[in-house]
Amino acid sequence: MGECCVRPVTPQAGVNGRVLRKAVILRLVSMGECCVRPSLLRLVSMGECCVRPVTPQAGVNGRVLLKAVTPQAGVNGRVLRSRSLLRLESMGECCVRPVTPQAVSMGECCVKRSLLRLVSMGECCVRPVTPQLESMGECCVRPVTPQAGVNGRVLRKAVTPQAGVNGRVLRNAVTPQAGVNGKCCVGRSLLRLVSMGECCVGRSLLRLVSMGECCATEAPVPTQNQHPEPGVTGVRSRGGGGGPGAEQNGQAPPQRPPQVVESEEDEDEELTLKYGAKHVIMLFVPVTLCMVVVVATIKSVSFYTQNDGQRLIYTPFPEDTDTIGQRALNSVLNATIMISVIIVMTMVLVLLYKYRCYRVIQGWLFLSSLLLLFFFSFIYLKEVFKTYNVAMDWITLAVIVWNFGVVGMICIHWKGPLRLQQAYLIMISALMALVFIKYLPEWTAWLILAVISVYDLLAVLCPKGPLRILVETAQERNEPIFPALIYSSTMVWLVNMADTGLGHRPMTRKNSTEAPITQVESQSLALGPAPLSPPEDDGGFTPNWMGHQEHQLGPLQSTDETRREIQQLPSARPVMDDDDEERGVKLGLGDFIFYSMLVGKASAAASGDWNTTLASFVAILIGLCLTLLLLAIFKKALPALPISIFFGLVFYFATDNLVRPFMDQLALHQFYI
Amino acid sequence: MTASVFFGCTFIAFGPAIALFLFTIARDPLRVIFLIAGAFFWLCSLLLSSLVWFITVQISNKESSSQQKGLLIFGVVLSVLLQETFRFGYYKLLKKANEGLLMLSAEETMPISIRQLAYVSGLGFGFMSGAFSMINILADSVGPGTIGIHGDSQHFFLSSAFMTMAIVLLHMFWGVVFFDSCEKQHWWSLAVVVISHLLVSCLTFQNPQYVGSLVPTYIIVFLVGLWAFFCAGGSLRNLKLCLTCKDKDFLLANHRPR
Repeated sequence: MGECCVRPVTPQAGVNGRVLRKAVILRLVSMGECCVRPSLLRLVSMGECCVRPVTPQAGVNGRVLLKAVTPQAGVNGRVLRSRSLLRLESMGECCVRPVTPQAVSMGECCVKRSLLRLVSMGECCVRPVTPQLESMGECCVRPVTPQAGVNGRVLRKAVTPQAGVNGRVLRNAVTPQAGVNGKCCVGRSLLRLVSMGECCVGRSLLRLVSMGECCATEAPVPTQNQHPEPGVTGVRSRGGGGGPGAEQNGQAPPQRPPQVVESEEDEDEELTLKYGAKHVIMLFVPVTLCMVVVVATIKSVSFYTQNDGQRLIYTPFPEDTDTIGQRALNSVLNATIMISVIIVMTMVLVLLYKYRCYRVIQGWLFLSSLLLLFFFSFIYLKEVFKTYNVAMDWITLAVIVWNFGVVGMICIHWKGPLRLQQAYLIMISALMALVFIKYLPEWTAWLILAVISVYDLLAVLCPKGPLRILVETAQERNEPIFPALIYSSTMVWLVNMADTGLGHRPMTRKNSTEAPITQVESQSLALGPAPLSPPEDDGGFTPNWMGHQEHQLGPLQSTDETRREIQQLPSARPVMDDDDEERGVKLGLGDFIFYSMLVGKASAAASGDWNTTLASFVAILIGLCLTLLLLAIFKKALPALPISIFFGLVFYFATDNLVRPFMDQLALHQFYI
Repeated sequence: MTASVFFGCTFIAFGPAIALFLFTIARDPLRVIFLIAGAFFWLCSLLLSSLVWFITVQISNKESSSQQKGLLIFGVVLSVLLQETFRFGYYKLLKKANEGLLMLSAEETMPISIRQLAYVSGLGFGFMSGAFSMINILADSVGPGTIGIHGDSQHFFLSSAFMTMAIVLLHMFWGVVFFDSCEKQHWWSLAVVVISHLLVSCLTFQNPQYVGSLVPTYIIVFLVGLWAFFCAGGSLRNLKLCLTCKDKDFLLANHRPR
């Protein structure tokens, strides 16, 4: 029943075999197809041809093994694509990469060097994992220490032992004994989180216990610490905590020594690549919108380009002087005064923050946002109506401005739909930029832009810089930094893990400290309020709530045995998908203001050329893109102003002085390049 | 000069480009970034060429108009050559970045192929080139005025719009052909691209005679477009399959790889 082999074949080639195209050294079994390459394998019954040399016993019901396979690859295995060193179980698929032995039955192919034993119904581990993924565990994509994830989902990064039984992904390293019902420690928490805890999103030094979530980044292995952890202080001990015995958390001790934790840099690069582009676009759109609003206003409403002779008190020196030298001197003085005002204000803000005068800061920012949302928008509306000659009565105007302002205050200071809050932040940035464009004289404005980028660079990167101190203090205290001074592209809703029968209690928490903060800028005419939420060290599990829960359910009785039991249960809880796509990126409102100011000034300049505006716009976007690239590489707060403003200024002056005459000449003759 | 002239000329000049952007590029953030980077590179080339032109003008005789015209022609030729040089530079940069990204990422395939990059960067160049040529003219067309009141051509806006559309499409096609010939090391086709760009620019020297400049330009657009189609892997068979909706690859194009 075989067809002819068209090439010489060794004996016993093709019982029911079809045409063997090349020399086969194999014994083809019945109903096997022809091997098209030299196969060194014994294809089992109903196996297909191996197209590459395979070691014996490739594919019981296996299909074509494309690459060499170590013995016992795939009983019902499918095609082993690479040198599999694994034993594929029956009905397992082929491993496409070398896998270490014991990829259990019903496991799929391990596509990378899995060092793990996949349990039944487990999926392939795509990265090397340490042994003992529990049954029904999913693949660990990063090296995990043993006992990661009972009903765990994919652990994306290395996990210290006992991270997350029903664990979800722990984003950062966790030291042992992270509390029972704890939530995530968002900064360097030295607390012990309790079970049902949420992810630690910062450098948590805690051990998450049962029903805790997984660590998503590399646990602090003593030799591989990138961030030196402070010593653990003030660990509250609750019942059931304890010594090394309890660290097992109800699991049998691991049978193999934990594997070496693999470097996670390649992981980070991959994630950077996939999600970095998305974040860049998430910032391009609002920056573009703000600039479009400013340019549209400048081009249509002449109020903002008129020189009324009025000046801000911060720039007292006039620029319409007789000599150029005098003008230069005046502008330098103006810029100096403005910058020193900004520096002083920033220092005051940092001091107030450090000494926890939250009320003062809140009040200050509240007042300034009040000013922006009511007074400046009223003036803007008035000028727009004047320009388009719209007749408007005072009552309607009052209603409009009142509604606009109040909704803005609510959205910015309290809660509101994300898009509305973003829209309001863009609008107040645009208003602020327009005010700057109107009241700052020409040379002063350019000088201020240049100097403030330098200041921004120093303030954020120098160890004693005020903004860096601010960021670090906020991280230490696990607080978001003035959420209303920062434009954030996502907001995270974290569902309360404890399902006490009182219903889910969704809480909004902006992951302000999760994503690196690009810049925080506070101006003298400061922008936006800061509803500093009270420090949530107990994660909302206030004593009140705990008491209530104990009252309802009885005291917590989490012991080793109960924890082990629970770990064996399949996880029915829908785990929230909080992988990296949902991490947003943040940009300070000051950045919006200065970008828009640059582009607005470019379009307001006497020549009124659109090419200059367009060139500055593209330059700023490219600068922002480069800044975000650096952010992805360095992963800490970076100043967003310097690169963009530098590119913007260079391209503005170059385009205005060099390109414009060239393009004008070309347009005159209608030549095209 | 009314709103209808403004909108008409805008859509003539930028309609195909905006449609291409909305349907193929806007969804993918990586492509948008490379588009803007391409625009930036074109801008840099323009900056450099206008710097050189500016310097030559400053040291020349500003009174003699024939000399100024000659310098302008020199500026145009220089600008074309610099644009192509910067396109080559962008190609090299993208190759290096791609290799780096491949090495770093754990995946085996690149998130964006060199052909997509060719298309996107060509379109970026085209957008910027078209914008710089056309935006000031469009801004002027909104305001009051009469075209050609001193005896110049009445078709100024319309011809500018058509020329801009041709330039935008041409940049895109040139991008595809350029990258493809760099990949395959066909230096002769590279030279043909540069020569065709020079040809198109030089055709505009006869410009109040629009017949002489627009018609050959559109013939070149058509030819280069055909060449780009074949370079990008198209063929009559593909086209037929695509148009009769039988092309499995195309239908599966929106499926994400596992």
